[in-house]
Amino acid sequence: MTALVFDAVTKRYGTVTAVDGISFVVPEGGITGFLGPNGAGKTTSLRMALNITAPTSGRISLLGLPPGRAASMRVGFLPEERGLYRRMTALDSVVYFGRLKGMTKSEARSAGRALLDRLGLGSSLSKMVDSLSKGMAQKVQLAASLVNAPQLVLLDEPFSGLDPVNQAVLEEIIIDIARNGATVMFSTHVMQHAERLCDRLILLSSGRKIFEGSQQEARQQLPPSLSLVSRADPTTLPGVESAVARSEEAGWTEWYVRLQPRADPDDILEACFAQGIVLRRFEPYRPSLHDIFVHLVGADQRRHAQ
Amino acid sequence: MMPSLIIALREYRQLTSTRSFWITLMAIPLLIGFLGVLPSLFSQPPGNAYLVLDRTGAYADRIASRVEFAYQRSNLRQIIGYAKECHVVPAEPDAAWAPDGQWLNDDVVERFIRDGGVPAALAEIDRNRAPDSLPFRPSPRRFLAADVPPDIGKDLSAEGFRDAIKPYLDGKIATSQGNLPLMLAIYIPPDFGKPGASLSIWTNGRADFDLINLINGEIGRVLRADAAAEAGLQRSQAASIEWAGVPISLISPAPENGANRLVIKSILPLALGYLLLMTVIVTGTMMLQGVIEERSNKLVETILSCVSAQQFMCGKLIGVGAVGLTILVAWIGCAVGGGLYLGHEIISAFHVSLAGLQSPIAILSLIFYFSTGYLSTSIVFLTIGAMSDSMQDAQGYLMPLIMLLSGPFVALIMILVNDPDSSLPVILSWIPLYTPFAMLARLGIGVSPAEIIGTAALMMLFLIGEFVLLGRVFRASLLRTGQPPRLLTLLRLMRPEGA
Repeated sequence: MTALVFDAVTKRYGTVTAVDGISFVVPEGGITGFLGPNGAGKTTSLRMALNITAPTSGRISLLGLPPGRAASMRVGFLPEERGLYRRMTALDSVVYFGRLKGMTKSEARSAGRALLDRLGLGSSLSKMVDSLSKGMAQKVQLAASLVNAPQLVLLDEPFSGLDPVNQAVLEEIIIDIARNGATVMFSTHVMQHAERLCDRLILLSSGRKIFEGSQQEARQQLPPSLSLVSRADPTTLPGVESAVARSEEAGWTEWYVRLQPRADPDDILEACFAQGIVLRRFEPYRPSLHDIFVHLVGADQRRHAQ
Repeated sequence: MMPSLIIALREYRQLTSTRSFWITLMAIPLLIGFLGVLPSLFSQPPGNAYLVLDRTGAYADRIASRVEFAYQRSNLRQIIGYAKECHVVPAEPDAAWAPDGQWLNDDVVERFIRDGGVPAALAEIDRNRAPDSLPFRPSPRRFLAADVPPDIGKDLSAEGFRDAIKPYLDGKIATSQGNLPLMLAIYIPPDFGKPGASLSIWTNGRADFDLINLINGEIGRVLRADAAAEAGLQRSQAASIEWAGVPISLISPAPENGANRLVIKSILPLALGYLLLMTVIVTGTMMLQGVIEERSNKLVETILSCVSAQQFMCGKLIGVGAVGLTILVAWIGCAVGGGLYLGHEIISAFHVSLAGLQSPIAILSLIFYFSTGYLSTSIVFLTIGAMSDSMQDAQGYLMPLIMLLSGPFVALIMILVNDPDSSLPVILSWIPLYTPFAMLARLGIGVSPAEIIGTAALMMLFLIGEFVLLGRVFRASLLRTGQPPRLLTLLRLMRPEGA
């Protein structure tokens, strides 16, 4: 069963197309990163999934249900711009949202109490939201989105506004939620979080999907490369697309070698040995998610500009 | 529990926990309390004393009986009013208190006293009035005669009397009803009636001219009678000329159709219309502030991920409706309580007002127009809140809206009081924005069933249209940022999403 399906979904605001016919599938379980630069359409997509706004065309399915109240009772959502009623206690805030998601008062109360306790707010249950620090208020809001033990958790820029310590705490919570069997999907444009947490990635740019797959598949989107130091020119080696000399010292040259798509750096190393090319250094380059993001989004935006 | 009810409950709790709610709730009871206390702050205590030192011995008793006669006249006026309220007609058609609009000249008052005065009239009224009608409350005597205190000699000169009476004019004097302020001291010299002799009156500075006129009239009457006797007329002839009353019949509008009656019958509906306007403005503004807070606190998106915009809107309307109902019930309760405490006249006005609203159609209409008026105006306030980022933004819409609502309503009250037959109330009844106010105001004076059905149907259509169109604006505006939409944008937001 799939947790979330977008099928040719488009959203237009007047003449502006915010989401342009995107399709993707988020399988049940695991953590999916919903990536893209500002204005890529991430928040609009999440709002459509939650029935906050309706798509202009296309079909959306959450846990096998169309967006609506039935689906939202099984979903947890943390919006990018967070807020709570200032004159409500921490526990009452969580209980209120639990009840809106169909829980009884006692269910919401006991789940809210346990959740706030787990988030380290056990002693602040009856404190007014007004008197909580920003970090504490964000935890209360997170508890409000998780109180109904959702099967699908959608987090819109969950790390924004958090200090590094609380970012680490939130990362642990996200891992914990996924470990307990829920599907987590979060949007971000900070690649380090996605790199550490995500099994799968969906990348949007200018309202279009430009990538969907695992981190390994994402890395394959960039041509493999390596750097080596030798006395000989590696250009003629099999699998090498190009080699550029970067520096030279006492007869040794440092080369930046770009490989052909799907070529394996280990094969290049083996070819060096076979052809008697003496190496002083051989360093395959593993692209970061940041590199992949810049490469894919940059290429898309260049294409779009043309 | 339905999500709308959960939202309504939170809304109700939040609004009723604000200071402005309690201030609003207490405003009318405090006003009623203030009105109750006000007369006692500014009016003199009931009853004032007057003192006559009559050196001739011919006038003091005449003045006392004239003051008593005036008191009986006011009693008769009160009894006539009370008999009308109780729908009691005297068995004897010529009874002084028969409600035939006769002028209360001295002959009629004398007949009233002769027939037994208040006790006799009241006994007959009590036998025939409905058991639930309110009991008669006689007015207290305004003027009471004081005996000449023992420390004031009865043979003093005018100057001596002036000096002796001064401490009493500055304070109180003993009467049959206890110590009362001495309002007036009259000195009648021994030679009064002869040329050059004059009567002296001293006051405490707060004299009632009714009393002065009574005394002046009575003494003048005696002097004229003496003069007539000296001119050769017998004293009895002179007296009968002096007391000749003008036979006047007073023709007032018939009780069921008269202008005053119409105004009284309109009191409750007009008051309800006014309360509707007040509660709508007060609670609407509270609700508007709530939506602005939810928008500025970025709460809306979280809420909309749990419930639909329509459920959110309904919840808020139910919540604010409950707050309005609470305020209304409290105000009406205080008004009725205050009326019971403050006076007979207020209660009788309520009786008359309620009499026009006793049919099931009238009661249902009253509830319908009040609820739909409340709902239709609250939706507008709610939408303004959804479109505004701050109260400053909202003010741009609020002021015109309040003027649009209250201006014609004030005109409506003036017109209904001064000219109930004017066509403006009828025209306003067919404009849905004003239908509830105009119809509430007119219900007391009678509206045809066809007009009730027609305006109610139009109002329902308007309400449905408003709910759909402003519901779209509400939904589209909730997550909108930036300046409030202009008129053209507003019209565009009213179109279905995706159209």
